[in-house]
This record gives sequence, structure tokens and C-alpha cells, in this order.
Amino acid sequence: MATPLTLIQGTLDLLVLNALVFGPKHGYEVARWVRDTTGGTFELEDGALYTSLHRMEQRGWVGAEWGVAETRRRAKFYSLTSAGRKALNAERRDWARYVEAVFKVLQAAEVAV
Amino acid sequence: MSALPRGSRRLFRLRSVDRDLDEELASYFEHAVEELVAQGWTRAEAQAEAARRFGDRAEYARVLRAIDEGGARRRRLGEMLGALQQSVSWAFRSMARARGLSLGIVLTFALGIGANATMYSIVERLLLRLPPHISHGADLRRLYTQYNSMVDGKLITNAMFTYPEYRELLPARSFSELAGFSSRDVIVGSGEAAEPAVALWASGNFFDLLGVQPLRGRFFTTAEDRVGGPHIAVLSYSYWQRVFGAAPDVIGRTIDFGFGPYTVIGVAPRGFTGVEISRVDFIIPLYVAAGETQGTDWLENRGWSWFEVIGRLKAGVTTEAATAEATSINAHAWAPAVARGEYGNNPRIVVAPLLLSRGPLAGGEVVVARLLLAVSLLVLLIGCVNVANLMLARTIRQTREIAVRLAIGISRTRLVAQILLEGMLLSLVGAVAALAFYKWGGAVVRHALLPDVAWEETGLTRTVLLVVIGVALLAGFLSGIVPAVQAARGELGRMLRQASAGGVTRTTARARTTLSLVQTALSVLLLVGAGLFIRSLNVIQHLDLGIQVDGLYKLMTRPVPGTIKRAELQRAYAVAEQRLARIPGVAAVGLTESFPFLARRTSMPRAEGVDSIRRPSTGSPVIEQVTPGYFAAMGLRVLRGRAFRDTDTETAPRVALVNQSFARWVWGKHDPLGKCLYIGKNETRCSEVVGVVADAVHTELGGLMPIQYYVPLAQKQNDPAPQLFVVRVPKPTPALLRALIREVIAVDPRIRFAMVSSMRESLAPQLRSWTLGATMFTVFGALALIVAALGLYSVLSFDVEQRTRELGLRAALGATRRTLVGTVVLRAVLVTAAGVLIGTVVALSLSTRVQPLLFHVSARDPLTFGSVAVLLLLVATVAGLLPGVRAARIEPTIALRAQ
Repeated sequence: MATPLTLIQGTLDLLVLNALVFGPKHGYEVARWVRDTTGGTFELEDGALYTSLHRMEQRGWVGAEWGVAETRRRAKFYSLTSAGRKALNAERRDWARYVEAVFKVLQAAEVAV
Repeated sequence: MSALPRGSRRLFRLRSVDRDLDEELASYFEHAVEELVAQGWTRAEAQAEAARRFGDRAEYARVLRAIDEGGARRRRLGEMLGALQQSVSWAFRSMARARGLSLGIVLTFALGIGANATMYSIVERLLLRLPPHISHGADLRRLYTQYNSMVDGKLITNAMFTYPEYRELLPARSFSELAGFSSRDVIVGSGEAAEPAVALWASGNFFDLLGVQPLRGRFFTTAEDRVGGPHIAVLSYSYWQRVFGAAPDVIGRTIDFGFGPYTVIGVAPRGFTGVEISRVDFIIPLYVAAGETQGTDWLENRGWSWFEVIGRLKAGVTTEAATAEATSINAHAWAPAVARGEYGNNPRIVVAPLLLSRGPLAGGEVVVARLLLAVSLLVLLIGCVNVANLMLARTIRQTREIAVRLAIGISRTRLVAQILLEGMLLSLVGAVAALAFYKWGGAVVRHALLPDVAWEETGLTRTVLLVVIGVALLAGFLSGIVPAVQAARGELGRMLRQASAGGVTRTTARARTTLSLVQTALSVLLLVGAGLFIRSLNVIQHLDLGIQVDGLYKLMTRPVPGTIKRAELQRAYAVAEQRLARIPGVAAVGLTESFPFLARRTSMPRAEGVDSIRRPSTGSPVIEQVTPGYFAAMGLRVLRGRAFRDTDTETAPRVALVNQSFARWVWGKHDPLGKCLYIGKNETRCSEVVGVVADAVHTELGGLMPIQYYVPLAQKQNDPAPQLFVVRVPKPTPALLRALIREVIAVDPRIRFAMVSSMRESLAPQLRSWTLGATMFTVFGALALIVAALGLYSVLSFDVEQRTRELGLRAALGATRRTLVGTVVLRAVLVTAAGVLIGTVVALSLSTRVQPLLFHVSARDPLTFGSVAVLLLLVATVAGLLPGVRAARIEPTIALRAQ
């Protein structure tokens, strides 16, 4: 496997928000989804995801409620709020523009390298 | 989800931030380990791997806790603000609903708080605050001389020093600097344009000592302050504004107050009046002025005390040490005189705080100022009690609403807080109104009460603002606490039942009655005070002063110095006297050296038939050198023998007049007529006593009159001091008074300065503390009465409204209208009578404290107490009539159907 990359600042929240698009998840589920989807590309500690979740809860982008997980154990479930959904869409657009711009630069210089 | 009610979950969240977090992280690790185990890891390996994937648990836990707690704190704050906002808007809405009541409450607060703020500013200026522009005032002290009288051991304290005493103190090591000052009334301008002014003579180091900086120009220096020094003056800010129109080129201009032109070299900063709070117009070097006007005799004269002394303590020196050192210097210097019996016993120096009002000679104004503060606090208290009554009435009216709120779930603390908040909001609104009153009305009050104090610097200072807000919050709290507690204590069932029955419980009725009692008692205190002061004032105004006050005027005049010789001046005065007497409308004119409350000369004569005359407690005998017209002009009654005549000239046989006290003191029951007085040191010529006059007031109003004797001016013993005319003008008009001045000036152009003032004007300052007391107590008493009456009226009318059913029932059962009216009025009278009783008892118990402030009126004067009681009962009857009439008009059928 290739060396894991450091996550670019500010994209952690984007990942976490995306994890919640399809419905509420508890903390471990979010961690698992992110790990599976990114396939280990990023050097990411699950604790950092929790930090992101708690921060966004205070900011009002995600809501939290205690419930029962599929293992019949108590767990804290996080879900997107409408503010969070708006923030997610905004971040997605910004990210797309970012990537497009970088990609254009790389394509232009590809021949030289 | 959680089964607990929302409110309590919020309450619990605070403590459970930790618990929540622990549980969440535990849950993560459970899930992680389970999954790994399911994938084939051993439990131990799974735990290690889960820990690796998570990261530093302790560190993350700390970070997460910080995030959560921060959020919880912000939420709590938001809730509190939200609750506060809600409470405030509730309060405003309920205030708006009861507009009349709210207005009444706000007005009551405005009056009470405004009055307190004004009184506080007066007291602060008089007692607490150092005069403005003084730096490091904590080290400054004022010195007094003190000794025990040889005659009766009485303690005599004097703020004035003689020059030799001052000079002896200068080397004292306790003080880094000593300075002297003297305040003088002068006349500025000439002829009819002459205006009175107040000059402050100050030693050269005066400004340095106080640490004050000039606003314009400069101050004079110690080098310039010497006998024969330059004629320079520093203007006060107000004088510069008033007389020079704040002209920017004032430096170099001159002022003339009878001793030639003095050049203006600077202007003092705004509000600077030296060390005292009385008005100062301009400041002159002390030695220059003294040398100019008093010759040089004062340099060695130990009998002439004429200026006040202040000093700055050296660092680390205590007041006690300074007192000890100064006393030893002073006692040592006076020792020979004390041994000869020419000075009192135990001479000493008192080193006291800078403010006169905090020293041994604090005047009556200080006591009155303190009294006024107490009075205004009383009025505020009455206002609070009144407001409490009104608010209680309102909460009773809202009983149903409160009961419903309690049922829904508002906590009792929240309810109490709500009512208190309403009270405080009302008082704060009242405070705003009070500040407006203070700013505009306060200035009027201050100038009316103490007119010769320089009030410039007393605007809306920070302390006043704090006092007003503090008082307002306290008042609001006090007013709200009783209704709040009453509302919170009522049980739900009882309150709902009351609401349908009319809302009057025993406890609320008792609370309101108590409040009315307190209010009435306080009003009694104020009104009794008013009555006592008014009577004192009345007594003192009708006091027999020995002279006729109305129509008596003094005409002070002075020639330009150095332009006219003594003898010429005397001749000019004699001519002026005759010419004044010839003016139509002038009944009598006399010439004299001194005037009551102004100055006096004492001299101990020898009397025939008596070895030596003992000095009475009123002081040495006063000698007056007067012209024959003096007695008629002053209205001084000649009791026996005759007054002076024009034939009592320098060459004629020497004569004298004595007053009654003198005759009695010296010769007892023997007839004084024909006896000889030897006036003047080593005098052998006999001045025959040809008449006895009535005692006349001289320096103290209401005290014992001094023993006095009179000598014709033509047969003068001493070189007379500058003289003044006493004129009797039975029907004074401004034109006539101006004519007097014109006539005097016309005699000789070198007599340029003349000023007329009435005896009444001289009396006013002496009467001031009683006038002050009488005015303020009357004003506050009337205020308290109005407030109490309004309170009684509103409570009674509310009562009637609440008891509609009961009264309707009574009417249905046959009670006449008169009975119904009588019921209400009787209740009012009974409550008031009880309050009057309590108030009277309290007033009587305070009578010993008040007695010293009164004048020849007992603090237990039955007439005053009786009148106040009658007045209050009358007011109660009237206050009860209107609601009573309304009660009588209740239609039984309508009343019984209500609610």
C-alpha cells in the first residue's frame, strides 16, 4: 500500500458530513464508512473524526441523539441538520472548483514532465 | 429517547457532559473490538488495534470535553439571556397594561430618587469632597487655635490666626509648607456702579501648596507676596466669565476695589474657590493687601487674628505628631501672656481636616445638610412603601393570572424574580426621570438653599449617577419584595378561590395595612419636623433684637486710599451725614464704626465705684463710637436718660451711654445715671453716663447680647476705624437707595465707593440653618403627605373594588348609603390614627436629638404634634370619602352577579 497521505486542512468536516448523507450514523459507523470509502488513503485517527463530529454538533451542522445500535447497545447517533446539509453542498461546490483548477494546471504541465 | 421532561434534561446536561462522553467513547471501543473479533482478531489484539485506530484516547477525551463544555456554557448563557429578555418584555407589557398605576409609581420614584440625588450632591459637596483642583488633598490640614476661657473654662476655638502666631509656626518640622488666606467682602467699581465682590487674600505659596494650575496667565509667587509688593490679582473663573465676559485679553486689565488698580495676571481654573466652598471673585497676595489696608501694626499685634492657616503634612508625619509640635510652639509663645492673665488657659493648636465642615467649627449648615439627607431618605422610604402598596394591590388583581402561571409550571423563584424585576424596572424608569429633575431642577434647589456656595462643579458626576442607580435598584427591590413574596407564598387552590371571591385574604390585607401604617408614621415624622422648624423660624424672626430691623440700611463707603487725610475725611463724613438726613424719605442717619454681624471693637473701661469690671461670658464690653443720629437710625430704644446730642462735642463734658446689661453687670441695682466711666488706658477724665439704652444684638442671633457702651464720635477715644452710615428709610425704593449713594459721593469726589444694603440682608445668613430646615421639612412634609394621601386613596379604592360583593350584599341587606360611606372612611381614619400614634411615639423618642437644632421651641411641642395629627386625620377622611361614595353607589344586584 502507498504511504498514507496527510489530510488537507478543512476536508475532515467534508468527509464526516458526507458520511451522514444517507442517514444517521453513530460514531463508529462514521469512522468505518470513512475508512472503507477512502480505502486507507489518509492517515486518519478515528479520534479526529469524533472531534469533527462534536465541533459540528456545537455549530449546529449535525444533531445528536442517544439511541440503540444494531448490536443492541446504546450509541450516540449523529444526523445532518438542514444547516449541515446546506454547508455540505457549499463545501462540495468549493471542493469541485478547487480540484478542477488544480487538475487544469496539472494537465497543462503534464507534457513537460 | 429520553423520558425526562425537557426542562430537567437541560438541567442535567451540565453534569453529564463527562458521563455522555465516557459512554460515547466506550461505545466506540465496544463496536470496534466486536467487529475486529468477528474478523478473527483475538480480543487482546483487537483492543490494541482499536486503540491504535482511535488515537490517544486521553488527549482526544480532553479535547472533546472542552468542546462540549464550551457549548454547554454558551447554551446556558443563551438561556439566561433569553429568560431575562422574556422577563423584561413581560414586565413592560404588564406595566403598559396598568398605565395609570405605572405612571403613579414612576412619578413617586422620580420624586423620591430625584430629591435624594439632589440632597446627596449637596451633602457630598459640603462634607465629603475636597474643593476642586486640589491635588494630594489627603496631606492637607487646616489649623485652629484653641484655649480655655479664663472666666468660665469654656473651650474657645478660633479659625483665625494672628500674624506672630503664624510666623512662629513656620519653622515647624511637621509641615512641609504652611500658607494663610483671608476672605474679604469688597466693593468693586465706583459710584452707583459699585458691585460687591469677594476677594481672597492668599499667601504666595497658596497655589503651590494646593497644587493648582492656572487656566490662563500665571499665579503670583512668594517673592511677589510682600508688604509693598506689586498690585496684582488672579481672577476666579466665574468672575472672569461674569464681569469680563470671558474676554481672552483679560491679562493686563485692572480691577479696583478701593485701593487703586490691581493688574490681572491670571485666571484660576473653573470651580476653584480656594479651600472653601463659598464664592471667591479674585485672589490677591496676602501681605500686599494687608500692608495696603491694615498698615503694619499687624506684623507684631498678638491681639488681631485675621487670617486662616492651612498646611501640608510632611511625608510620614501623623496628625497627632503635627498637633503636638504646633501646640508646644504656640503654648510656649503664649506662656508669658497666660501668666499675666491676658490670654486663656491651655493654649493649643488643633490640626484638623481641610474641610471646615469636618473640623471643630463645623457650622449649622453641616448639621442641616446631614438632616436633609436623612429627610430625603425618609421621603424615598415613604415612596417605596407607597409603591409596595400599589404593587401589592396590582398583584392581587392579577391573582388569577398568577395562579394559572404557577399551575403551568413557572417556578416560584422565577415568579418572585419576575415581580422584583418589574419593581426595579419601574424604579429605573423613575430614576431616569429623577436624573432629568436633578439636572434642571437640582440647580435651582442648590442655589436656593445655599446661595453663597460656588455650585459650578456640581453637575451630573459619576458618583451621583452611581448613587441614583444604586438607590433606584434598592428602592425597586424594596418595593417589590413584599408583593413578590406574597404572590409566591399563596397556594394555588386558595388563590384561585380568592380570585373568584374577590381576592382579599387576611395576610394580604394585613400586609397592606402594615404598609399604610409605616407610611403614615413616616409622614408624621416629616410633618412634625416641618412644624417644629417653622415655629423656630417664627420665634427667631420675631425676636426682639433691640433694634428696628425693617427700614434699617447700612451705607458702606470708602475713599480712594492715599488721596485724603483722616481729618479731612471725618469732615467729609460729617457733611455727608447732614446731607443724607435732609433727603426726603430718610428718617434718621448716624455714623458708626461697626454694625451687627460685621465687626466689633472691645475695650475694658474702668467704672466709678467698682474696682475692676469682670469679663462676662459674652466677652469684653463692646465700645461703639457713634454720632447722635445713630440711635434713631438703628431704632435703639433709650430707656433712661437721654441719647447723645449735637452739643456733645469734643470740647464739651465727656459723656457715655450704656446698655442695660452693662449697667446691671457693673453697678447691679444701683442707678447708673451720673456715674463715671474712665474709657481708655490711663484715662483720668470722667465720661458721665447720661443714659441707658436697650440691649442690641451684635454677633450672635438668639444668644446673650454683649454688654455695650457708647461714646460720641466727636469725643472719640480711639482713632475710629473706617466708618459706615446707618440710615433709617421707612419706605425704601430703589431710587431712594440710589439717591443715598449719590449724595455721599457728591460730597467729595475722592469718596468713590459706596454700597447700600439692608439689615435684613445681614440677618439672612444668620437665619439660614433654620430657614433651610423649615423650607425643606415643609417641602418634604408636603410631598410625603401627598404621597401618603394618594397611597391611602388608591389602596382604599382598590379595597372597595375588591369587596364589591361584600358591600353589595350589605346594601341588599339594608345598609344605608351613609353607613357604607362611613365604613370606608372609618377604616381610613382608624388606620391613619394607628399610624399617627406610632409616628408620634417615634418622633417623641427622637426629640432629644432634634432639640439642639430648634430655637426656643420644645421638640415635644404639643401644638405641633396636635396639628399634625389633626391634619393627617383630616386628609385620611377626605381620602376615604371618594371611595366611600363609590362604595355607597354599588348596586346590590349588579354586585352580587359579578364574577
